[in-house]
Amino acid sequence: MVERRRLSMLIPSKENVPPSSPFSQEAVDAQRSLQKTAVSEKIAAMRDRWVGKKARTGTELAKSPTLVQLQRESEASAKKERPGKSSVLARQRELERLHHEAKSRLEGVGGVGGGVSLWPAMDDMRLSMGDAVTLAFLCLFLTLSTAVMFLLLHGTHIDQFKRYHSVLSEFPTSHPLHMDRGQEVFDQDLQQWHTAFSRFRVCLMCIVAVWSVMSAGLLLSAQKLETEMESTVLSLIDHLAGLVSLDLDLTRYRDVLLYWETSYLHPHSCGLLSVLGLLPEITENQHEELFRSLSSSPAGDDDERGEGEGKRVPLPPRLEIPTAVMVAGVNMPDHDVLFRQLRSKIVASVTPHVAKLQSETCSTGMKAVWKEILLQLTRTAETELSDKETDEGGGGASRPKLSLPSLSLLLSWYQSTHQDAPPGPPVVIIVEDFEGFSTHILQDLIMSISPHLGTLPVVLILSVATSAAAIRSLPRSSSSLLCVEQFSAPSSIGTLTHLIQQVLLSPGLPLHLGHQALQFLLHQFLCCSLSVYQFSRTLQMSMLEHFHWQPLSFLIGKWDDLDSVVGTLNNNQCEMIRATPSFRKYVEGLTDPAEQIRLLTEDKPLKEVAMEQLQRLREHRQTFPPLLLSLHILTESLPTAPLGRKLHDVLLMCMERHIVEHSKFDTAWSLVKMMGREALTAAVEKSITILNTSLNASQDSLVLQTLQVLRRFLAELERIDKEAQQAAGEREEEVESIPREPLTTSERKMMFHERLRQMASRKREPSAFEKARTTLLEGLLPCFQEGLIPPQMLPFHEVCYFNNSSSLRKHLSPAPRASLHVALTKPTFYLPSATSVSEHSRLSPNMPDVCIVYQLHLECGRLINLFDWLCSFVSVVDPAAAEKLTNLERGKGRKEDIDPTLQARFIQAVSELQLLGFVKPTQRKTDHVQRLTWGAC
Amino acid sequence: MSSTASMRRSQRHRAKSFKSELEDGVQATYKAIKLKSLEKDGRCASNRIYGEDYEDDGEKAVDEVEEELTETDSASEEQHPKRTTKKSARNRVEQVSDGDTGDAGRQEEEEEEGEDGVGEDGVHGRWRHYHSLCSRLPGRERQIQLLLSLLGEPRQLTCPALYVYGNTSTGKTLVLKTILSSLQVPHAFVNCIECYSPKLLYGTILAHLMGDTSGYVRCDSMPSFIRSLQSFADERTAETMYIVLDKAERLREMNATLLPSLLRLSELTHRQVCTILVSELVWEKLAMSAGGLRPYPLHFPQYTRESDCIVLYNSESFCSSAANENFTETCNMEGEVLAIMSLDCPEGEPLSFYRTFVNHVWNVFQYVCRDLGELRYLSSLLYPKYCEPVESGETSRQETRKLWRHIEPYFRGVMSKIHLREISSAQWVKAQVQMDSGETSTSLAQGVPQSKAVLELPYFSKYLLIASYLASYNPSKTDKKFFSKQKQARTRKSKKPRKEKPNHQLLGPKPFPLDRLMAIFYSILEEAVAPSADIYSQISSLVTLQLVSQLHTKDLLDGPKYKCLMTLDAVRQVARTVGFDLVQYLYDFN
Repeated sequence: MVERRRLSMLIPSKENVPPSSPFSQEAVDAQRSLQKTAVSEKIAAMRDRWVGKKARTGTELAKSPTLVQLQRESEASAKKERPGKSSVLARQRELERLHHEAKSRLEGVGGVGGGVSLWPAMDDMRLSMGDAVTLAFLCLFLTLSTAVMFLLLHGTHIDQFKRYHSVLSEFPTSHPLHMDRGQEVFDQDLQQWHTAFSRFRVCLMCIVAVWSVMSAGLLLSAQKLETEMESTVLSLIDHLAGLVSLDLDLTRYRDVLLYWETSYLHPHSCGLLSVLGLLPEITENQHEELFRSLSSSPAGDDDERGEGEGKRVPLPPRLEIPTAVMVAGVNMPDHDVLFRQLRSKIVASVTPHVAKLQSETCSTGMKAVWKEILLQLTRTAETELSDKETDEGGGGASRPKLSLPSLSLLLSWYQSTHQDAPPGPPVVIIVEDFEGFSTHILQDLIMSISPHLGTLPVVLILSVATSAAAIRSLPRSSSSLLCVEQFSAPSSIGTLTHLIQQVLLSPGLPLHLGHQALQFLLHQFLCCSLSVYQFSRTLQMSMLEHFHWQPLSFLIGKWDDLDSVVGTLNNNQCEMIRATPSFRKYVEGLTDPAEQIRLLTEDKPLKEVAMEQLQRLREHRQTFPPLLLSLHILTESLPTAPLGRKLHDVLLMCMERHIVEHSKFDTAWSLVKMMGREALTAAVEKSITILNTSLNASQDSLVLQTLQVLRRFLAELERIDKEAQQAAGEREEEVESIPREPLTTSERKMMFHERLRQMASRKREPSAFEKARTTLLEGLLPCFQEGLIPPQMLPFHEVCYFNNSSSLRKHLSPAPRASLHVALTKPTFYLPSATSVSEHSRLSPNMPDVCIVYQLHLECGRLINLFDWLCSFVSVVDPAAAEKLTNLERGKGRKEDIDPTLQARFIQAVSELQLLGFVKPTQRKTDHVQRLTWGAC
Repeated sequence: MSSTASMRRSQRHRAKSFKSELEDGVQATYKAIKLKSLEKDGRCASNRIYGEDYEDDGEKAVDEVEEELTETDSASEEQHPKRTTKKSARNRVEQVSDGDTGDAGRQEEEEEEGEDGVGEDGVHGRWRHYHSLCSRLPGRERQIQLLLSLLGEPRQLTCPALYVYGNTSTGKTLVLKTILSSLQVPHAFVNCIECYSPKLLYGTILAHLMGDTSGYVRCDSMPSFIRSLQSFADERTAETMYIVLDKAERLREMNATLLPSLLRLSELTHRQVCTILVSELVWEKLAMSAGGLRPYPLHFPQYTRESDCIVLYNSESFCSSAANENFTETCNMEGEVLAIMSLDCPEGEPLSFYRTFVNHVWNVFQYVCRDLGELRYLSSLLYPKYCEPVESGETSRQETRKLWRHIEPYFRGVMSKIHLREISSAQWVKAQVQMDSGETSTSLAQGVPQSKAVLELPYFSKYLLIASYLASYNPSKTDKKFFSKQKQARTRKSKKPRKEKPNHQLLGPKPFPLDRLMAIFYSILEEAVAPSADIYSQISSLVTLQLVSQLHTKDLLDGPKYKCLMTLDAVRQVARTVGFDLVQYLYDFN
């Protein structure tokens, strides 16, 4: 019976579904029994085959398992004897043969070393006995020969030293002092000893001195050799510039470079790379607020729920899933970083169970969603477990197999991991791109989670790129199950201001952006992406470009000890300094021609000037940001905001040219002159704090001066207030002292006119505040004038200001359409082989076909007749054939007159154009194609 | 009278069809049992339905039922809903609405406390539960009755498939769950949303039946599922197994053969299996393909407040006028909705007071929402506010008008904020606490973050969005008028009265090719911008943000087409941020 049941398991499903009518039950039974017998026969046959094979394989135990497998398969296929399988059989036999060969070879090799070689090449690599012996002899020979060589080279010296040593050791015996033979002899002996020893000493001294001098020379040359090696490695690095633009495989080059760099070059980063580390840090700071609120929300919700069990009287009849809707902004490239940080924060502070869902992985259906969630959750749990295991040494949860991921599996996993403590940490599911998910999937997810909230506390984080209203796309049945709380990432403009303040205006950053590069950067950020990632990429690119193309960039790294660096400039570097455009401008600006000549010919005055100007540049870098910020504070709230409401507007203006000369500055300044007291005081106080912080960082005279002006203004205001209080009492008396007499209407009119006339004629006396304001502004103007000089007006600004926006644009903002146009109209631009084409003729038969076709198509309207196009193509490529065509057009010739190769070339060129998105076939007119202006995305 | 006659006729007809289905391989005893169970409530009509062929059996059954009725009546005296204490009512708070299946565990515990010695009582023990069930599930007496009679006794043959349908939160899931767990029969309760594939469905059903804790038993195909069901039934007693499939409309999406075979499980297994499908759709919508067994339909109507809604009860098999009258009486005294919502009454509060409050809630919200779960949720949020003046001693519990004046503004706030889920309940409670601590009522609006924040987009994206809107809502032939160089002169000309034209705002967005979008983009953008890859990538990012949708064309090289999905107001807002006068360029406004 059991066997029968097992047999019936093997019946295919469709036969097991009985027909609808029970009257045919018998028929079905009969059929079934028939099938059962058939199947049992089949199984018996299979079993027999298997058993037989087992018996056979038992005899062939020595063979490798793969071999057995191969044979078995070949036998099985041989039994089946299917037509068309013979070739496969042959191939299998061939494989088998090869396997045998390999095995026999392996046996021949066997016994040399331990183990069996894994691949044939390893045999060649293993040392044979003979090899080992030769190697040993070689080593011995090398040692001996080196010793002999040394003896040959220095043997004489050693001998000499030995001789001197022996002589010196015999010296007391050869020069005995006879103390018993009287004074004379003793003196004589002493004399002898002295002369002998002094001679000896001179010789020795001579030898030792020469020796040491010679060895010093040796060391020196060795040192020279080493520096030369270093410079050689550096020259290898220099090749990088050329190689980057070429289309070569650089992996080997990189490996070689890395090897030599690590072995020969000292690591000196000079703090330049800190920018790369700086940016994520800043973004993290930016998002910290968001994170704090976000990560506190699930925890808060959790607490509340726990509280609710005990305290709150009306328990909500339905449990809502605590949900955080995060408006993350449209800057998609940054989201990856954002969510990685969010995840790590949640893992660190709230719960270890975090799953991050992306629409790409979850678009197929609920299976993918559950799989993703389970995989991520179990992975985090495993890492946590492994940590625990190292501490406790054992224990843990069973890892669920992902055969069919489902909610029940998740539930059982959660229960098994948190058996001991029922209210375990919540499971956080982050939906990364809400817009990308289909609503069905999210709906299913929410509806299936919500009934199990009691056992599986889930917190959803939905990230919305556009606005929180996108949640409305969920149907009510599921959205009513969510307890939504909103969070939003900081606005992009705020981020930009923050970035400018922290990165571009920070004095710690050695490299700065000039006007054009800055403009490009801001344009990219504001108009195209709003992405911090793009911003950092642009900065990185500009850094790369700067250090690659600007020879003087080495000065940046050593701002702190400019003296030593400028002092050790060699001739070459001085020439480089002379070649910088800003220096030339500076020299041309000098009035004294002798000075000019001196600077251009001698190094020393040049170094002095360079030192002085670089110092000035550095100071400018210190004063520029705080003054810019205070100007911004002063002008941001002006009506019509002539200098712009945002920091980047003012920054761009200041970088463009001298802000004081700017026409908008005048209007702004005249508006500042009319500012009210409260606004002005607030602005002044704000800028005082900014200036103070920058003053702490560096003592700068200009900043100090500005600060003094501002402080004086505040002090003046205080004084005015005091005076006004004192004056208030007095004025009251004055007012009372004016006599008031009854007047007639005509008299009153007269008096009014009189007063008006008086007021018009008399110049109004400015109030005390107005005076203070004027002094303040008069004091501030020179500060701004001096401090906000655009950097490109300073000499040597090339050293630390990168201003090449075209290279940035080339690398970061590609224009495929434009380059295609260039390639098709001027093939010589990209094709060096086509130089023979003369520049003058726009169309020539030597051009590639696509170019000709493209240029012809430029002359056409929206719809292009293919035949006309072909005619003009032929007339360009083969003017002789064009005559036939004119005949054809007149109706004389035949269509076959056109060379079929020409036709083929033409059609190929047209289809290439279609592929590039310039034309597309249209159904509006036969034999026509449509021109596309913008191509396809 | 004629209406009842026609109803009977139709029922007879339906009964015939049902009968013909039942004849397939099911013994005659099945019907006898069915008849007997229906007879229990003294409904003679059922005699007419089934009794034509089996009158002899019916006679016997009636005798049995009469005996039983005397028993149950005496039991009912004790457990009548009205006489239940407040405490027991409170305990049942969670169990009424359809949505919350999470409390099943708690509820089962209660069941076991309440019903002692269920299985030991004789053949008709099942009916012992009737009144306790009815008291727990007010307004669903009729359905419980019908279900109990359809399910029959553990070893009796049951109807192979049931189809339970009705609107959301009409108590379908809850009633089934309560009945099945109180009867303590082998059953599987499976939510089809969780089981996205047939394999998972089989596995989950088996796990539920066998009481497997992992929630999944490996089972790959229908045949093996049937075999495991058979072996399970053989191991256990011959009790009927009930398989409840909640949200059964999901079964349509899986496999064409799945639903028919699930409905015929009892035939396929030759064991007693009853498949109960639960859905919100009517059967005709659910069963897309013909050929399946038609399950016995059971409708769960909406809970009503007014008694006159009884007419809506055209339940399939009940037409006894006597029963209807009884029912009408109970409903007259107390609407179903109010009865259910009154179960929420917190401990220590007078029931009548709470009922007036619930009445207010129902009156205010019935026009926007009849979802019982939602109503109960709202009333639980609002009740503390309602009680506030009473607790502070300003008013007594009898001054309904004063209380109403106090609570009305909160009702309005809740309706606009929470019901639309603009803010979460937690935020609302927080805002209320802030308000109580001395702030004005505007703090509710202030404490809530602006949900309609301005969409922050890159500059070019904004123009692209505007261009896409213009391209979607302007006919392409008017492009020349709006975007050509001599635009000023032309617009002046066009001021003469035109023929009546269709409003494109009402017609919805039209697809447009990329070329047109770019042409409009460059004509409305004042500055000259190189057509770099950045701009093209912004179009695709707009597509991913679902502000613009890309229509699926055969060939992407063939010029893709797009549609703008933004509303006029949103686009105008975007246009205002870049200082662009949208209306001037729209065909409908010029």
